[in-house]
Amino acid sequence: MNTKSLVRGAIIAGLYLSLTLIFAPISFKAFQVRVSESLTLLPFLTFDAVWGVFIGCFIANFFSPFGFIDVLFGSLLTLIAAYLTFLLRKTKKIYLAPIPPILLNGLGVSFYITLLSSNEMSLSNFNLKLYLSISSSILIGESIATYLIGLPLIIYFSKLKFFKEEI
Amino acid sequence: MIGKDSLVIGQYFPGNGLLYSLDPRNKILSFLFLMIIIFFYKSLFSFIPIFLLVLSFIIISKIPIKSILKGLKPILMLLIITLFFHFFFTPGETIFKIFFLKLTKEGLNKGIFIGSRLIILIMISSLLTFTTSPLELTKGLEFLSLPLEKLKFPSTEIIMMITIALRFIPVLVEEADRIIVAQVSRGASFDEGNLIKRAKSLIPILVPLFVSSFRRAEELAIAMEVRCFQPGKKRTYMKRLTWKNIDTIFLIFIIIFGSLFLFIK
Repeated sequence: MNTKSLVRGAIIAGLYLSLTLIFAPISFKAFQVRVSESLTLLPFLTFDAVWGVFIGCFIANFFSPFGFIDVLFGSLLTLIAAYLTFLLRKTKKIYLAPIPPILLNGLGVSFYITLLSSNEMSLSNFNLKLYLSISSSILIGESIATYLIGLPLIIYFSKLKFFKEEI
Repeated sequence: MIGKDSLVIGQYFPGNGLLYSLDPRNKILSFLFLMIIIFFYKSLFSFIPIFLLVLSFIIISKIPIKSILKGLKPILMLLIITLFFHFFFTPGETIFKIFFLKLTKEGLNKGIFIGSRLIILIMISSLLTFTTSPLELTKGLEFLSLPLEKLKFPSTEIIMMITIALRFIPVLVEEADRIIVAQVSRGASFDEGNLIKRAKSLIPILVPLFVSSFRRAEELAIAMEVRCFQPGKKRTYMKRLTWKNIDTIFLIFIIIFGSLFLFIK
């Protein structure tokens, strides 16, 4: 990692955090939308954003009611999603970029939340109904943040000279 | 628009007391241990001593109970959903019935058991973030993630990035504030219209914010490079982490205390 990538990643993390702070109370109808999740598409444009989004999410999760659990697992899922989004850029299909964050957060985060609120930490009596109700609300919130806000944003950025050098 | 006091990162409460004086590495290890061990508890009664322990930690750290409750508020919905599913969808002896919903004795027991575990879990988890600043926690995690360096995980770089990100939040928030005011003065509105319209209205804020921040990043990178900053080189700290005797005692105490109630049936 060179200094430029490091600082860019750090600033993206800073942006993620600032957006989380500024738009904290935004919710569209019943769905909580973390506006900052729109940044999870940036890895489609530059690798520096993989670390940036991971770190932003890592620190932002200190606010989470799940505290340390979310700090560990939530940000790890974001890191994996960001890397997958980065890999997806080879396909050159920009509309695919939101799929990893939507799926990993929607299915992954709800998975550990369900496990934490189930009887035993075992898969044999996994509470499917609870899982589906949590994951659907996360899926919808995440889809709004990525497809409605994130996608127009990165389409715009992909035309900037600044990012064109990167791709 | 956004008050400076809203810029407290995480739920950290500056203060002093036993938990504040402990090494962050120790706090991570002992609280993680407690969080894992309560999943092996079989009886509701095992939760009582743990609950009292956590409560006494909260009291000696002088964290206002109000903020603990505030922290629990967002999970209220989850708690209600969880309890609902366990109460009404566990097969067993029926206590009463409304339409197709059957409250069973087994469901009631299970629901209460899981509900209290969830609350304790969140209390332990937030106790860690209440008493440890993000920077301290990061230092602790850096040390604990050193073995990952062998797997090419850039721990030292990540810590540097976290430090920069935290440093830049006030600057970026101020910048965003300025952009919001500028766009509003041009007639932009952010809380009108349907979902798509509102989501779209954020774009005129995000684009200039990003462009100006990336410009800032370029400048910072140059400034760091001329000062011979080299990414990945081991950093030295002014305030170093120190493992004291009290840390060892605390860790042993937590391990013994946690394991003590493992066998209550």
